[in-house]
Amino acid sequence: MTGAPLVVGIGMTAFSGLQSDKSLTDLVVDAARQALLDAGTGTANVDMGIASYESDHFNQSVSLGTLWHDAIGLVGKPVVRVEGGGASGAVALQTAKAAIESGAARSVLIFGGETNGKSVDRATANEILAMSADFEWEMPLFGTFAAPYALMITEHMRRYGTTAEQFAHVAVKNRREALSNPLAHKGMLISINDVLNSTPLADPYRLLDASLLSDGAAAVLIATDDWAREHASTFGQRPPVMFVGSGSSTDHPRLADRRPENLAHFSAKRQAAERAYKSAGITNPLTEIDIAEVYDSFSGAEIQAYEDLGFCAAGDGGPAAAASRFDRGGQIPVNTSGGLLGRGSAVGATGLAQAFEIVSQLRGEVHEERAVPGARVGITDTHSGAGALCAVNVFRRAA
Amino acid sequence: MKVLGTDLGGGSDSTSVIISYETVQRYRRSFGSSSAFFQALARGVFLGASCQTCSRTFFPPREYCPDDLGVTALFELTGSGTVAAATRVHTASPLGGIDAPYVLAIVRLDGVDGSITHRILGDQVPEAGVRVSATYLGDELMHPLLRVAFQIQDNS
Repeated sequence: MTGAPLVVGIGMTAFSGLQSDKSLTDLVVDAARQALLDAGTGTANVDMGIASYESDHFNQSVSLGTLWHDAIGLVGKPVVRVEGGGASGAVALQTAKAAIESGAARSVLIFGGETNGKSVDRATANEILAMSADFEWEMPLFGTFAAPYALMITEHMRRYGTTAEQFAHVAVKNRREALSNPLAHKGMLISINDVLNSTPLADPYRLLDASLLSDGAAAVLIATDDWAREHASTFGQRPPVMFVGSGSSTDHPRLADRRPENLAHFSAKRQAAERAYKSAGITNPLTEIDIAEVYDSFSGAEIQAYEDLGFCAAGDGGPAAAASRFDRGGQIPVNTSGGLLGRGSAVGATGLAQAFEIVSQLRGEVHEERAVPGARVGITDTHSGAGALCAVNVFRRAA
Repeated sequence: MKVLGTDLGGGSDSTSVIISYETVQRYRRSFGSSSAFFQALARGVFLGASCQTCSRTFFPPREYCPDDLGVTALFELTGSGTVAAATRVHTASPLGGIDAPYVLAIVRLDGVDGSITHRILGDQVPEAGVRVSATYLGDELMHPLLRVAFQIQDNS
């Protein structure tokens, strides 16, 4: 192949609290079918499938990769399941990129989904989500995953003077953005006071600081340039979007094991971003990135991400949020989809849904209400747990 | 597994067939190389580990040193430490044993290069830098990590 893989097709279902008219497999097949139609190709031309989902428990199945692969119509081709917590979809994309760049495949369909919405009751959902923590050393202490995030943002507040009002701005912004995204789980017009007065989870985080748990699926088809010319009938009808960079890294999964100087930050996110930027040839993220989808599992995590992704200096994330520097119309519009707070999070699909938004924006295909005109470079940022595994992907529209 | 009911569709929220079922899953899980720590904890003793080759210390205890792959030996800690960050959590753990709300902190332990995330007894959310000490509790039905909690030292 020559050059970076191309994103030739994207598909996504709506995210919602309960998709009771669709099974999880239906959702994944819908998203995959959309991606194939978007590319103007068929299953026969796809070399390989990659399935992305986090939990075997929400849908009580341990073999969804092959089931989805079969339902899409890819039997006879290889498939691998990728799990990386909240970063699953992004890591699946990176796995596909590696397969193409190694020459193992010329085209890979990545499909992911999850029924995090209401397939189980709240108590059962809490039990399943608690499994993300270390059973021996942390799980008995965490009521929900708000706890480690709260400890991290508490240290950020102590070190830099970040305030609850500043990260409430993110909760307001992302829910507002979701109103103009027809695929979003729950857009809302809320105020900072609404956030500050919502139900406490783990201080200082409250219910409206927390992201949504959704049902949904997304899919992305990437391929070599020559495959696209040969098999994708829509190739040439719009500016190609290239998958130009990727990076990932890890930090200690247990918060207590992290270096004291890293407690206020996602250190693995810094490393992932550095690697992704280097592979994409980005030297100044603030001036070279036009749009970003960031992992706002909690509102303050987006502020920390501004810093760890290099959009602003350490400690400047709070004031930047309050000054709308990363709102639409700001220096780098962040989470125009609504993010996990507004579009929602079906965990295995989240990194793919982020790519869907970025590619749609770079193509100029989103509704004008949330469009970022002229955007050429966009990134996605996801992580597992409280930043144990971080993955950053970079997309660029050809001129 | 037990099927609780099947809705053939036409209800208010769906036209699809929807099955409801429940599962009861029982697990038996070994703590393996961490067992010595939890056995000591039940006796009111807090342990760390030290590499026999390079003397690097670890908490939680590790069986092998990741730097030189040397074996480690357990040693006794005081159970005292300093709060790095703390929060009040408003939802109890699914594993039980702690009523919400409760205070949770990262405690940098004395005498070892390591920390623990654990409960601080009482209602006060300590600032970073506050000194705390382990206090030992007994309940066989709890997760063994909950046999200890921390309390703020009187002179903090």
